[in-house]
Amino acid sequence: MPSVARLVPPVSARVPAAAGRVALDGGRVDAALGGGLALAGCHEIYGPAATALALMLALASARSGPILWLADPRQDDGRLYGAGLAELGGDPGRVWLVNTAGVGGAALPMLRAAAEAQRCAALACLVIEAGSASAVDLTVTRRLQLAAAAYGVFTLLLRAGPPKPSAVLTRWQARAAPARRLAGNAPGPPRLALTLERQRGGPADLYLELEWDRDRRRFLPATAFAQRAIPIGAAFGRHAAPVGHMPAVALGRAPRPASGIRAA
Amino acid sequence: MLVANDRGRQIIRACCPAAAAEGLHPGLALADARAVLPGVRVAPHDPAGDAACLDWLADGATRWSPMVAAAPPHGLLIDISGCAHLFGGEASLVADVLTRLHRLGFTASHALAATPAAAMALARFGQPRIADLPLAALSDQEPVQIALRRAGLKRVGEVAKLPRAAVAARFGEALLAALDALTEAAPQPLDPRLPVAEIVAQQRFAQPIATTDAVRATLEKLLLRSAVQMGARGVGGRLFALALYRADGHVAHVAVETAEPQRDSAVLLRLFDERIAALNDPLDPGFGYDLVRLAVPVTHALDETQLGLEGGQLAETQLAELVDRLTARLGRGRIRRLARADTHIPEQASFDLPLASSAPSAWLTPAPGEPPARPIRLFDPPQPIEVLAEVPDGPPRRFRWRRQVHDVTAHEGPERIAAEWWRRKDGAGLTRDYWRVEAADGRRFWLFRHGLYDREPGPPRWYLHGLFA
Repeated sequence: MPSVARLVPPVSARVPAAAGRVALDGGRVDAALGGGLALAGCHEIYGPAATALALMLALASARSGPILWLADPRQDDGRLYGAGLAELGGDPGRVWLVNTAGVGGAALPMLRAAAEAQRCAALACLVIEAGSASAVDLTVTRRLQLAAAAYGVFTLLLRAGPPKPSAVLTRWQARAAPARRLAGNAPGPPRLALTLERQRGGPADLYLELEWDRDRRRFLPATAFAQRAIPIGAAFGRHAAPVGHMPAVALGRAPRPASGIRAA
Repeated sequence: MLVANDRGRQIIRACCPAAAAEGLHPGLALADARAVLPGVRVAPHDPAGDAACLDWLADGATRWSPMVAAAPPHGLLIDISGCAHLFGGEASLVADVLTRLHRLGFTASHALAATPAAAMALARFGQPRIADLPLAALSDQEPVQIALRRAGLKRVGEVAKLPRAAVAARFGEALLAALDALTEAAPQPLDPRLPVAEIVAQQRFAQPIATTDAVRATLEKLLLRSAVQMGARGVGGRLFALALYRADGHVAHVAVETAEPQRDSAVLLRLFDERIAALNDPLDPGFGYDLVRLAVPVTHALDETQLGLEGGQLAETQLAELVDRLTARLGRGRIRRLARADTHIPEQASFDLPLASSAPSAWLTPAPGEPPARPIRLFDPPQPIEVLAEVPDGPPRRFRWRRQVHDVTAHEGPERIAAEWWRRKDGAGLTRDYWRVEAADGRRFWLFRHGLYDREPGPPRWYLHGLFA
């Protein structure tokens, strides 16, 4: 019975991320991004799995130092849960939550705090939970991007709802993807469905599914795991052998009307 | 004339000299006063406002000495030991105090004495010597004053000449204590309104300064001077209090706190910039500040250091500075870290504590190869949902959350978490059965059934407690 480890391509076969970048799928998307997601930049994430992707990227960046999380107290998806962060492979004590609620205007204190934090290169990652704040406009995102590039602070901008114009390096839509099934029809490790919607000066409209490898703090492409169709409710042995390879469609067009893939 | 309501009657609390000359006095009913002076102007008495005004004056009085105490209802005590020479002697200090008070529209009487109580009594009764004070200075209780008068005593000096034991026996210990307070027999420390700082730097201006640039330049100078003082003592400040004394008596306070002892003027100047930018009411210089004082009330040991060659120390310094700047901008306790509590109840197992006052806690490392057992976002309180299950105590098949129906395609559970009956007085509490489920669209949720069928009271209810990655 082949184990999961053998289904994952050996690390040497994966293209390693260039210096100062995070590897995503170790393949085509990384190549389209120029060797991985640039750490010295501001990236915009929206969608139901935005929190998860931000945490995973911060952990995958393998930078030391705290993760500064500018929290939006008005968002209604619960609070960050320490035990869950530990289950993602991170040290929850590294996450510093900053609450800017009630200090003057709505989004302004958060943006000022973000500007302060972007000057501190000792941070592993800066996460700005901007929600649906209308103050985060083209000018603000341009400023965030310029500061992130100048000081090298990995900046993630989490937003709610449909995208608005922005000048960030990349924009991602993050949704949850069905996970591998473990024994007893249990959901396996977290899997995300990402769409690279925009990239400044690079190809965009790329879709990929990634699985989070908690123990090594890295992403694995979902294509590395072959999966067979599982009738709901049926019990299976854990890490069941694939019956007839049916690789998941992992790369290609985004499932929305797109202008087409530009050449990488 | 100020009046207040007292048991249904309007009673005079204070009146102006003109009214007093007509025979009106505090304690008189308003109706009686109107009979004497029909055209008298009346305003309600506001004790809280009076107290606030006195506090404001006391604040302004810190320009003469750091040891200032308010003595309600209408007294100010200033300890000028060692301060008078800064103003050219006691006489010119007193003149300065009286001129400023007069400019603000206050009438004041003053006295200098060795003890606060003596100074208060002398100022109140307008006598030059303690011995000449009337008996009212010793006790404001009518029976005691009558008893003293019956004994043939008229002045404080006469009481002081009597044997102490006899005074205590006839008029009580309280009288003796009051007598000691007037003389120097008992030490009476002032209770200063503000903590007195060891390190103070200040700058006076003959011509008040009103521009932001001038204030900033002064602040920089004061920071440098205080840095020299702190360097000589081998300490760094944790709290820096800037007081800007306006020529009209108002005092503006701006304070910054640092996480680590600090005396670098450039860093501190930046913190002050942040703090002033974040003020709710911007500094209003009015006619300008004529005194700027920087005090460092909280200090810690700080040796001259050299930056380490390795990057670790540099990173820590940068982080400490970031925390300081954010604290100056947002206020204390705004930067928090996730901490762990030793309990099985999920919503109590993880919470956030202020970064400054907490140490990182040890987290359990998950078993390798297993999927996450805890969500990354937790709802507190859990959100009620409607659940359809195949069998009553089986896994959920379908649930409705936020008006949306989710079909469960994969699940794991139950993970049974009992209530902490040993912590509850009634020993009760419902058991929770947690399920990790995945919906058809791939989202993963943490659900629980609150209560067991048949064994625990009431039909169990379902809740959504968290969202997985």
